[in-house]
Amino acid sequence: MFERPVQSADACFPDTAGMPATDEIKAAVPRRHARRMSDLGRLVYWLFRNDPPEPEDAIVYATTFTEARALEAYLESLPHASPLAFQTSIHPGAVQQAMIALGRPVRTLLPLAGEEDLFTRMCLTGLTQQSGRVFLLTGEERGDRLLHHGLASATTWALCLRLGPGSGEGNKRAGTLRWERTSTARENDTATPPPSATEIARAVHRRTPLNLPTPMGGTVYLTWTP
Amino acid sequence: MHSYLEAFDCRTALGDADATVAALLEGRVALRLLPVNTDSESERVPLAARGDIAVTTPPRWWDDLTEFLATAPDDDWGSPRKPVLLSSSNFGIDRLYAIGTGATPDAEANTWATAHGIARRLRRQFGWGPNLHIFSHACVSAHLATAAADTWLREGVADKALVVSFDYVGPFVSSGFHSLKILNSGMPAPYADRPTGSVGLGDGTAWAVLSNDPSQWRIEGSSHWNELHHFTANDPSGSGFEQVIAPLAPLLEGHGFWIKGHGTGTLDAGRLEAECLHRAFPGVPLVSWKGSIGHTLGSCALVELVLALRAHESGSIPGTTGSAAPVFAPNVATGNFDAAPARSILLLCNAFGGAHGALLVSHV
Repeated sequence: MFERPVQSADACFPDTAGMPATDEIKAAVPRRHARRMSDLGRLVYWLFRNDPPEPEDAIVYATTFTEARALEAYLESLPHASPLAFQTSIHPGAVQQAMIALGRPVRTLLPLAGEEDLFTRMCLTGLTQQSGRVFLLTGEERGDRLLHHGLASATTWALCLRLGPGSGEGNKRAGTLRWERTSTARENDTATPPPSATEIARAVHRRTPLNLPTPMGGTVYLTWTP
Repeated sequence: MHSYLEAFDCRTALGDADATVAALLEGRVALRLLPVNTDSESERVPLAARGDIAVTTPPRWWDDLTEFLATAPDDDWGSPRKPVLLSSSNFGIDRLYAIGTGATPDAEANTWATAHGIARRLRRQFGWGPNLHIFSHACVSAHLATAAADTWLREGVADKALVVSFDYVGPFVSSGFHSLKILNSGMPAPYADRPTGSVGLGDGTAWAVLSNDPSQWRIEGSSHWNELHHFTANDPSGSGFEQVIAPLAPLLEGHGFWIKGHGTGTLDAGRLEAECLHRAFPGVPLVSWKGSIGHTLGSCALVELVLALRAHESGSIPGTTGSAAPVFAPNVATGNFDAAPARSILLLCNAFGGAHGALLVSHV
C-alpha cells in the first residue's frame, strides 16, 4: 500500500462563484513574468505562490490539452512562427512558467499527458515517488479556435494537492491519498468511463471522497479529515 | 532491487540500432538541408527524416512507427503488472499545423493531434491494455518514462515494463526551432567551439523492455533536475548540469565509464555541459551523435540509450559526429574509441526550462 497525507487541496476555477477573477490572478504575478505567461501558467503560480515546491520536492503535472491559447497564438503566427508563442506552447509550459516566476528549481518534474485515467495516473506516479513532498498538479486552459476542433478544454481550471512525506501519522492533514493494490484490478476498459480530471477537480473542491479503480490494479482512495 | 534492460531497439534516419551504430562509426551524417516548412522556398535547415516531410492524414510516420513497434517482444502489455510507458514531445502535433494553415474541422483527423488520440490508436493496433502512462516533457520525455519504469520495477508495482518513445520531424516543430534561430542553415557540430551554434532535427523512435529479471544491462540509477531559470536558456552558472549528476557520482567511483551527452550543437549549453563534465569526471570521454542523426527531441534519451548499448556491445564507441577541434573541453571525443575499459555508461539529456535527466547503466 502506498499512502501519503494530503496537506492541502486547492482548486481554482477563475471567474466563477467564490473564485478569483482572471485579472486578480494576473495581478498577483510579478509583472515582468506575467506578460510572458499563459493563463494556465498564471493560475499555477496562483496555486503555488504561498507554499511553493522546495528543490527536493516532486511535481507531477497532468494535463490533456495543455495551453490551448498559447498553441492558438503560435498557429496564428505561422508561417512567421513566434518564438514566444512556441516556447509558451510547449508541454509542460504552465508549471515551468510558474516556477520560473517563483525563482525556484525543483529536482523532479514529471509531466503526464493523455486523457483516460489521467488523474488516477497522476496519483499513482506521485505516490511512488521518494521525494519529500509531492505536488500533484492538474489543469487545463480554455481554448477558442482549437475548442471548435475538439482540441481544447472549454474551461480554465487547475487543482493542486500537496502530499506530505511518509504516512504522516500524527501530523495535521486535510486528508489522505492511498493506493490499495488488490486483486480487483481494472484490467479492461469499463463500459462506464472514469470521471474526467475536470469532474474530479470539482469533487476535490467540494471535499468529496473519491474511489478510483486503477489500471495498475486496486483502487486509489482520496479521503478527507472531518 | 535493480531493473534491467532486457531487450531494446531504435530507429533513426540511418536505420535500426545496429545500422545506425555502424553508420556513426563510419562518420556518416544523416542530416540533409531541407526546407524548414511546407513552403519549398523556405530556408533550408538540417533535418534527418525517414522519408519526405509532409503533413498528411494519417501522419506520414504512422506506418513506420507501428512497423517498428511490432518488433518489440509480445507480452501482456498494458495489464496491471506490465505497464506501457509512452513518451513523445510532439505526438501528432502536425495536425495542429494543418489546422493553423487552413485545414477544416475534421473530428476523425483531429484525433491524430493529441497524445491520447495516438495512445488509443496504438492500443487498438497492438492490443495493449489500459495500464498505459504518457510522459511528455519536451526533450527529456523518454528519460522520464524510462526512469518511471525503473522506479515502478524497484518499488515492486510492476514485473516488466515496455517503454516506447517516438518523435518525427514536422513543420510545427521545425518552424518553432527555426523561430528560436537555433535551427538554421548551419550543420550541427556538438561541443565545437565555433562562432555560430546550430541544431539539426531528426526522426527517432525506440522501445525497451525493462524487467526485474537479471540480464546484461542493469540500470544503476537515474536523476533529474529542473533549473527553471529561464524558458530556453540554461542558468549560466552551469548549476543544472552539476545538480543532475550529483546523485549518481558516488555510484561511478572506481568504475570505468564513458558519457553520452546531450550535445545538440547550441553553443552555451554545449559549453556548460562539456566543461561541467570535464570538471566532474576529467578524462572520461564525452560524445554526442546529434551531429549525424539530428536531435530526435522527446525520443532522444531512449534512442541514444539504445545506440549507446549497441555501440558498447560492438566494442567501439562512435565519436562526436560532425565535430572537430577546437572543442569546448578536452574530454570531448571527436573520434571513435574502444569500449573495453568501461563497464558503465552515463547518459544525459536536457530540455527547455533547464530540465536535465541522467541515467547510469552498467554491463553485468
